Order: sequence, then structure tokens, then C-alpha cells
Amino acid sequence: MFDDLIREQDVAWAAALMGLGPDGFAPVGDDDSRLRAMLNLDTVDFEACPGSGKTTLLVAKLAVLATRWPHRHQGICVLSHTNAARNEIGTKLGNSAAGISLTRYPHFVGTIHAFVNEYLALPWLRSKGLEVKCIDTQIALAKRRGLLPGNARWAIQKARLSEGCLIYTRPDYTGGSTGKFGPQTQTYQALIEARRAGSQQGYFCFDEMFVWANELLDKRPEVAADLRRRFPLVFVDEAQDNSEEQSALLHRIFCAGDAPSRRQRFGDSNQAIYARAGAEGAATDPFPGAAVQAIPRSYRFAQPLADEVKGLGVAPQDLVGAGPPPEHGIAHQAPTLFLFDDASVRSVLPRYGEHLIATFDAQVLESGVFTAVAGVHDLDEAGRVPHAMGHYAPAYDPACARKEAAPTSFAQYLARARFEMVGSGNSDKLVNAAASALLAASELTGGTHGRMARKSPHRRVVDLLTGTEAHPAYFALIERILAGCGEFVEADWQAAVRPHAEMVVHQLSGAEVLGKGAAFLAWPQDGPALYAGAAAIARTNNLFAYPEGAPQVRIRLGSIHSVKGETHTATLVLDSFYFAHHLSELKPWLLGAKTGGSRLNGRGNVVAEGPRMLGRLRLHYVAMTRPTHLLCLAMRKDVFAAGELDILIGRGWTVIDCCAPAQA
Amino acid sequence: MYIAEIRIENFRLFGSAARAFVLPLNPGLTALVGQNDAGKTAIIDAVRLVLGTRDQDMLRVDPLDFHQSAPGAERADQIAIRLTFRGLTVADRGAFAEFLTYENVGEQLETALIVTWIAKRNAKEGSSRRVLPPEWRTGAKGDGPLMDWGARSLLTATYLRPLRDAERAMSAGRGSRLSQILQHTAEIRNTGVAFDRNANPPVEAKDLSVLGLGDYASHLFGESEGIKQARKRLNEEYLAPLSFADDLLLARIGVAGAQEDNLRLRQLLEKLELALTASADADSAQNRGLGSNNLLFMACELLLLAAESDGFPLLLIEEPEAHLHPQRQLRLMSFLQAQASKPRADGQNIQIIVTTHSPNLASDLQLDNLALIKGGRAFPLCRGKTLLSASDYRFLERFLDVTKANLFFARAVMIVEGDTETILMPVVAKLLGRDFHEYGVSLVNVGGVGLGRYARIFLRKDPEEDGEIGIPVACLTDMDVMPDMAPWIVGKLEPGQPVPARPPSRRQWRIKADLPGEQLAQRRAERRAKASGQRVETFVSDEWTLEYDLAFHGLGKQVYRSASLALADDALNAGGAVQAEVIAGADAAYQALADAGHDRETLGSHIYSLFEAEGASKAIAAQYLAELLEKEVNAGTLTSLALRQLLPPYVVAAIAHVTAPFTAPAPNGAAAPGPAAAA
Repeated sequence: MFDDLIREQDVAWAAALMGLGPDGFAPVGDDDSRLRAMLNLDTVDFEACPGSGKTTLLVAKLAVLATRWPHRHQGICVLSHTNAARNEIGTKLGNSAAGISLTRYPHFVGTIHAFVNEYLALPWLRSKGLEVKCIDTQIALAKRRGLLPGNARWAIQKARLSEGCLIYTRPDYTGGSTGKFGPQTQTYQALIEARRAGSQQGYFCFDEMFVWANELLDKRPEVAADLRRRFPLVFVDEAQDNSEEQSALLHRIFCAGDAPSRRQRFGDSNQAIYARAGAEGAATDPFPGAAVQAIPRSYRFAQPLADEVKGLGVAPQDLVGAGPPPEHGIAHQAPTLFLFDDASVRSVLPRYGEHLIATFDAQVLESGVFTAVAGVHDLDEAGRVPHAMGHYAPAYDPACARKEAAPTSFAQYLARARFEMVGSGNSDKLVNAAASALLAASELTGGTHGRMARKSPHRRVVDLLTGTEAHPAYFALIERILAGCGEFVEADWQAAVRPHAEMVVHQLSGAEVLGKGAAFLAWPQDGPALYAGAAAIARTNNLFAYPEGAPQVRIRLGSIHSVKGETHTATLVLDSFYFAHHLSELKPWLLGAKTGGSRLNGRGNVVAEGPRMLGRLRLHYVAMTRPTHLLCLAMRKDVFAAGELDILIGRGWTVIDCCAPAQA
Repeated sequence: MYIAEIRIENFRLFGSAARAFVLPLNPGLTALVGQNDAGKTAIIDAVRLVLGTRDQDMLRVDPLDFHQSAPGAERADQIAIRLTFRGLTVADRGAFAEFLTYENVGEQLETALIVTWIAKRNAKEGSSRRVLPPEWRTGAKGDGPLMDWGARSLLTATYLRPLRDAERAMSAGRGSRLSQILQHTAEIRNTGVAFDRNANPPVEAKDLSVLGLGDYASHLFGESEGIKQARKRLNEEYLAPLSFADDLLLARIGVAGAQEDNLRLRQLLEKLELALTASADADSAQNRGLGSNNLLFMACELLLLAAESDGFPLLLIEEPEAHLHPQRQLRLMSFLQAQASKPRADGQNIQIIVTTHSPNLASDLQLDNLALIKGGRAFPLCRGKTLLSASDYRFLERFLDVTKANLFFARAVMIVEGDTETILMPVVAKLLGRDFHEYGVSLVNVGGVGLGRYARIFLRKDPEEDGEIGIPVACLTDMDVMPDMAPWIVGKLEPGQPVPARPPSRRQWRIKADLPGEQLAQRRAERRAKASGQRVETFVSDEWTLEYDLAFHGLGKQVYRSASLALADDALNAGGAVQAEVIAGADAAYQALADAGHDRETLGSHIYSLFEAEGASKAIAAQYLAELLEKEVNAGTLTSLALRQLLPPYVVAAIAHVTAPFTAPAPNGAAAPGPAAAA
């Protein structure tokens, strides 16, 4: 059924559609990897290097398929790992009329979680008579905690068990971590009961959806055949990031046994980094599988940068540097190393800003993307300098940078919406973020309206409030938020925001006492810098503007996780600390003494680096492959022994010593 | 897959909760039968609203469609129509994976697709939009995702409206139904090759596809010498003088083309029209009537439906009998049944729902395929839903013919065993002021067999759950026990011959002495119980047979007259006898019997012996009796009240059951006995 769906003449059309010009996917020299990738519709894994344009390639393929797809009741399934990736695919598909049709029935474009929910877990839970109100780990756990009897709550606290003990991993509500409490104990029984009762009320944690999906597949294995019938063609983006649960479930749905769907995975095993510490990659059906096609040509950076970073790949790929893209009209810049000590750690960012201003002209500074990233972003103040981003930029707020983590306060909801709406000027994100936050606060306070509605959060709040006293309060609140574009000082917050918000939440939840909801709505005490308008971080959070008074360059700060998949003009990778200083540990790779994640020992056996070292390599491979023009590192000066810096300088590195004052 | 259940709430005559409409369906063909205003069209419209139809007519909800529980009451706020689909194929399950409901059926987990269509009335004052846009919800409780257009379009039904103007639907023109149908026909698309003006050698015209032929014709137009010359003249004589030297205007004449293939094909097909001919000679353009065109139209729609390889094949036909004579109705029904049982290439079977008022159609269908619609409720007549046994179903399939099928459309039904009842009951009822036509009573003569089987069609297995069919049914049957002295009077026994003991005798007839004590009452109860309950009642003759009971209760003289007339019938018809003389003779004989001082049973037996012993035809006597009674009432010698008192009570009760109860006569004897009673 896939014969002739992508023809050779479509490739040029698709390349032009993607803005690459008609030869975008044409062979370069003897490298026809992109052309072959376009035409291939077999089950295969694409090992695509950073900057290879794999998402563009995927969307181009989808655009061609969309114009030729003849089926009304069968569709193409496109699975991404994150909502951000899903949105990117959706936006790019929106460029062609046929592409838009892919975002609708019978096709699916979304995250793996969304797929599992929509096609397995939710139909199954509905069929069991459970009304799913809300899938949100924070809210579900708060509800379940409230269902625990006092003595059980106390016992759990005493045993230092986290709220995670209320998450189950089996459909009979058992499993998960119950610490020292065995099945015969009263506390264990109380935990199971709270998990069960909370679920019966319709509140679920994200990962529990996989439990229900698997139960349906156990009880009715034909479901897999049904879904293969619906989705004969499956694409998985960022496949290297799939967890074992995700990979195993997808394998079970689409691949195991007879008549598997055609499945193409796009990914880069060298960039496999996980959101949670200690999380492992998939053991079932790992990426890449047996049929692999490499796409080693990067359109992001030039060959010199490719040569600098390729050694850090766990499985080094023969990178071809075909960048940088011509948009700024400037060539590759020499990589730069910033050296600092305890005293000068805070001068790294200003020196970076200074270096950027010296390197790029005003137009590039205005239009380019400049970032500074660290592997660790939750600061332990007492940790060894440099522990995390906070040591370089004290005003940095880790919560705002986590794209995927659910915000945990009203202020964070607003901050995230502001972050997302930068540059667009559309108010819907802000309004709906405020409405979502109020609904979440109400849930935390005891409201039971659920969040699985078809309407936007704003419409839901309006519907719920119509005719009540809180209705004008809600609109007054929205008015204030829009007027200030979501930014407040503490006085305004206490005077205008909080009273209105509390009134709305009282009405929504029907509760007299706000309890947890009150803390949710409170002025964020733990991160005053968020709104204090402190010198360095002006206006938008986690933006470092330089120079302070009259900024010429704005540098976005974030974790390495947060910039995954992004392309920057210049990236500064800051050293940080997790069991050891990351970049310091990677010094042998930077200096060229080591390559890859394994080596042959004297007896010819393959010796792999430890898992922690492999994680470090992948994380910093991601970070260092972001920039198109300028890669910078920041490391402690005392890490380098005599002569080591000369190796780097010899390879063309610029070294800037922040311990010494800048030369005017 | 097929629609296994239709549930309608607050739509037109259908109410909500316990008064909602629920109709379970089997795969294949279902015919909705029932009288006018029962709600048949409302059911079809409800399905159309949910699924949409392939023709371009959109059915919209009107504020008047919202149910009104009582005249003047506020209309309901929300219409909910729920369709449950079962028997999903793997393709269906794939196509609707996100909307499915899993149901435990024993150990097995089965899938169903449940679509709930919700329309809300706009409560806002002064809004121009009186009904809010409807929603298509899924899931058992309607809590699943909304169905978007793409998924819904897979469910679209084919709808054939009643009294359709087939000739118009089949004629040429923009957007004609015929062009739509042909465009989706594989033969049109896949036969022949496209036209290529550069092909060398040129393709034979007969090998071209339909679209190719069109393109070829367009090409020929462009090449036509006439057009070329006209163009030349236009250019040289008119445009050239109007042009500037450096900017020459040039005309080009050709068939508008270069559009998308689908569009060109559609324009081509819109030029076609469909007409019927009797012979294979294509030019005999003799026009056929409406009915034939109707068949043609249905044939076309079925062709399209059967040829498709995706989607849900549902055909809704209202009154397929329109314009068709009875034999053709039967042929159509057999054809539809055959279509419904033939799986398509994709494994789907066509589901057909028809409404009908035609006893012809109804009689040709098996009871399993019928659903009786009455009073806003549905009563499927399939196995398991009625008190009919398996043998009843077999029996009725053979014997429920067109003369009996009108019971499906009646407001009330009287089921009788013989011709006497068939002839007499409507006349008697009319004379009592209970005209069967006026009350919509159907009279079904089952010819002596299966009385209870027909009546049990109206008995529900689970009346608590399904409700009762609100159609009163009266069965009239004979007690068949003669008075003790009757065997000798009516000639069953020779004078002096003793009543043979049973066994060993195999005599079929019974006398009261055979059934001592409670046994007589027991026999009556058993006969009654064969079909009684809910709105069905069996009325057993009070004494013996209808004729005997009539004579016994007060119409002895009239029965004697009519039996005598029946005996003389041939002579009367041949002109060898005069009716007045026969009557005079009968009256004299009757008077002699009356004067003999017999008791009522003996007198009755003597009158009845005219049938049993003399061989008077019961049917012919019934005709004479009907005439005599009509004459007496018209002449004013017999009032309807007096007649009622002369009739056997079970006859009066049966008429009351299927029409309306009688009020008791005033106790002061205001209703004086008529002359007949005095006679």
C-alpha cells in the first residue's frame, strides 16, 4: 500500500516547500543520504546527526505523503517525545494545505503520551465507567494525599516516603514504591486505598496511563491489530529519548508479532539524554535497531566545529560540517574557552557578552540566538563552584526553564506563558495559562470539575463562573494580567491579583478554606528575583542582557535539557557539578586524548565508560552541537595543567581568562 | 458493523428517560411498520441528523423538533440521539480506535462504537440562532472525544426520501445525483486510457476512458475548421483594429479546460441522464412511469453503496413502495433482502432501514426484520422479544400473507377464525355505533388455525422493560361444547343412540356432560389463556359457536331466517324463489318451534341444526343475517341498544375491547326491548 507514495519528482517540491530550495535533499557529492531517506518507506531507523535537519526531513516526507494519501479510515501516526517537538512538526506541516490535513482525522500527530491516552488508556477507562477528570501527577497526588487517613500520612512522613508512593504501576493499584511497608501493613493498605479512590474520582498521574493501556492490551490483544490497521505507517521523532516503558509499549502496539506497521524512527543515539536523573534508555527495541541509515551531514555548523565535537559522541559519527547556514553572512568563528575561579565565576556571563559584541556586528546581535547553558540548573548554594547555573547568574529561576515540567504555582504558570508568547504578541497563552492556574488551584483546594474538557480553560472558567459574584473578579484579574503582560511587582500582586484570584478559586472549588490553593496563589517568596526587576535579569526571566544599561545582546539562560533540538548562533556551555564537574571530567575528550564512549584495551576487548561518564558525554554532546557559528566553554582555570591549554590554542581555540580583568 | 440500537430522547414525539425511544436492531434489513404519526419518519430523521446523508440535502434541527411533553409545556432543552454500532470489523475498530467503548460480554471484551448526537436549544433571548451547533460525542456516557468531520464522514448514510421525484434525480444538470453516483463508480474511473494529444499513433476512440473521451472532444473542438475560421475573423477584423501595434490582442476559442481531473469528469458526467428502456435497443426512448424510474433510482444508489470500499453502508428508505404496484413491491423487497445479506468486498454488509405502509412489503418480510412503531415506542418483532415460540415464527413466515399483514398498521385488531365472524363483526359493530373503520380496527380471518399465533405477535416477552404494545387485540373463538341434548337434534347421533364413551370413541365433539364440575370453566380458561394478557384478550363464546350463541341469546328468529335464506340461496339467485316467501316460511317454522315449549338450549340447538344437519352455508347465512339486521336498524324496528342486549355477551365485550367501552343501559328499563325480542 506504500508503493509510489513518494516519487522522485516529489523530492524537489518538498525541499522547496521546506524553504531549502529544489536541491535541498539532492545528493551532495557522493552523499545521497537525505535523498535516500526521503524515498525510503521501509521500516528503518535514521541515525541523524545534530543539525542534519531530521525534523525538516520528516515534515517534508509527511507533506508528500499527505498529498498522496488515499485512505479515509487509515492514517499516518507521527509520535514525538515532547509537546515542543509536536508543535514544531505541527507548525511546519501548516505550511502546506495537504500538510494541515495530517493534523486531523484519520492521522495522529502528537506525543507518545497523548497517543497512549487517546487510543488506549482513555477509551479503556471510559469503558470501565471511570470519568477521567484530570491527568496531572501533581494534582492527582494532592488528591490522594488528602484521601489518606491521618495515621497513614504520619507513618509515611516518618518513613521519609515521598508523595510518589501514591503512584501505582499495576491495574490493581499495587506496585510502585511503598518503602518499608509490606502488603500486610495497615499503611500499605491505606496507600492502595488512596490510589484506588483517587483514580475512581478521575485523577490520574501521567505514567499511570501506561498501566491502563497495557491492561487493555492484555485483556484484548486485538487492539494492537486494530491500531496497526488504523496506522499502517508510524514515524517516531527523537526516538533516542524513549524510555523503556514507552519503547516497550510502542513495540507491543506496532511491531511485535504478525503484520507490523511500517515504522521509521528518527533520532541520534549520541543525544540520548533523559529528563530524570537515573532514567535509562530503552532495553526493549532500543534505538537504533538493526536497520539503520546514517544521516551524517550537518547543515548547522562548519567542519572545524564538527571536528571539535564528534569525539564526544558515545558512538562517534563521521560528521560532515556543511554549515553554518548563510543567513548572517559570516563564517565559522574560533571556539572560545572562558577560564574562571571562585572569585570570578560571576564575570563569566559579562565576559561572554563582551566577546559576542566583539565578534558579531549589531545586526547579528539583534537577530541571532545567544545562549548559555549548564548541565545542572537546580542550585545547591553550598555546592562546589561552579555547581549550577545559579553560581554564574544568581537571579536564574530553574522552574521557568523547565519546559516540560508542570508549573507549580500561579506565578509560574504566568511566567511560562510569558516565556512562550515572547515575540508573538498573542494573548491567548497568557489568558489560558491564568485560567489553567485557577482551575489547578481549585483542584488543589478540593474542587472536582476536572480538566479534561473540550473547551479552552478560559471558556471553562467563564462557564463555571457565569452568574456568580466571582465572574467580574475573574475578568478584572484577566484585565490586570493582560495590561501588565503577566508581570507584577509584589505590591500589585498582593493588592490586585491575589484577592481576585482567591475569590475565583473560592467560587470554583466551593471551599471556605483555600489550604494548598492559598500557597499556590501566593507571591513567590522563594524566587523574589523572578519579579524584582533585578539588574542583570531584565524583563523576561532567565535572559541575561549585556551591557546592563544599554543592552546590545540578550543571552538566554537555561539547562542543557531545555535547549535540546535548538539551534543557536552562539552557545556557551558552562561547567556544572553532578558527582564531579562535568566539563573537567570531559577534559580528555576536549583535548583529544579520548574519543567515544568506549575504547579497545590492550587485550583487544571493548571497554565502555561508566554509565555516569556516558551520560555526561551525551549531555555535553547535545550542548556543544547547538551553535552554528560560535562554541564557547566555561571551565575552572585550575583544571588545566601546564601545556594543556596550548593544545587547544594550537587547534585554533581562543582562551579568555576571566580571572584577569578584561583588556579594554 | 451495523447499528445495533437507536436511542432518541426529546426529539419530536419522543420524550426523555422512561419515555425515550429505544429500538434494538439486527444486522441486515429492518422495516419499521406502523400507522401514521407513530414516529417512523422521526426515527429516520434522527438517524439522518446523526450520520448525515450522501445527497446534498442537509437536514437541520428546527426549534419545533424539541420535544414538548404536553401541549403548552416548555420544550425540552436538549435533543440526544444515540446510535450504538456493533459487529465492528478490524477496519472499523482501527478507524474509530479513539472513540471505542469496550464492553464485557461474558469472558470476552467486545467493542462498540457509541455516538451521541446532542443539539441544544439556544436559551438566550433575542438570539437569531435558535439551535446551537450540534455535537457528536462518543463513549457510553458521551464522555469520549468529539467526532470530527473526517471520522463522521465515514458514517454517512444513503437516504431515499418518500415520493421522490426519480425523474428529476436522474436527469442531467449541475450537481445531478446521477453524476455524483457515476463519479464514484469504479468502472467509470478505471476503464480505458486517458487522452494524450501527442500519442503516436493516436489511441482509438473506443479505448479512451470517459474522461479521455471528454478531453478528446475538447481537443477536436479546438481543431474544428469552423471554430478556427471564426477565430481568424474575430482576430483579423475586430481585435486587430482595436489593438495597439506593439500589444496585439488575440482571441483563442476552445473548451474551458486545464482544470483538475475530478472537476472535468464531473462536468462531463453532469451532461448524462438516465432513462429506462424496455429493450436493449438504446434509442427506444419511450418514457417509463414514475414507479419504474423510482426503481431505477434505487438501483443506482445501491450500485454506489455496494461498490464502495470504505465507510459504513447504511441505506435509509422511506416508503419504498411509492409508485410501485404490489408485485413489484415484493420484487423490490426480495432484492433489498438479498443485497443486505451479501457481504461487500471490504467485509461489510449493507444495513437497510425502511419505513413502510405497505402490507405487501410487510407480508414478504420475516418477523425478525420487522419493528412495530406505536405510541412513540418501538416493538421489534424479532425472536426473544415476543412471546412467539420458534414454531410460531415458522408458522407465521409461511402464513402471514398480505391479507393479514394489515394488522401491522391497525389501531386495533380483531382476529377471528371463520367467515361468519368476518362478515358479521364489522356490521354488528357498526350497528352498535362502533364502526371498525372509524376506530381503525383491522379484522384478520385466520381461517380456523393459528388464532393464538397471530395474537402473540402483540405480546411482549418483557413488558416491564419494553412496555406493552398499545394496540388492543381481540381474538374471537368458539367454546365448542354443545348442550347435552344437542347431538340428537343436530344429527351427531341417531335417535336413541347413546353418547359413545370416550375413549375408546374418538369423537371430536363435546357435550357439557363430558365436562362435569369445574372442567367446563377450566376449558374456557385454557382457551382464553392461549393468547391473553397485556392488551391482547381472547373472547371465548359463551356457549358453543357464534351461530348457536346468536340464536341462543336472542337473535333466534333472525338466525332461523338467514339460515333458511342460505338454504334457498341457489334458488333465490336463479329466480326460482322469492325472498319474502322464504322468510315467511322460516318465520312459521320458527314460530312452531317457539310454541313447542322447548327450553332455550333445545330451541337454540334446533335452529343450529339448520347448519349442522341441513347443511346451510354459514358464510351465506352470515351475509343474510347482516342484511336483515341492517334493515331492521335502518327501519327503526331495532335500536342499537336493543341489539346489544340481544347479542351474545362475548361478542359485545370483544367489540368494546377493540373500540370503546359501552355504557350500561339505564336501570329503569328506559331501553325497552325491541320488537325482535318480543317476537
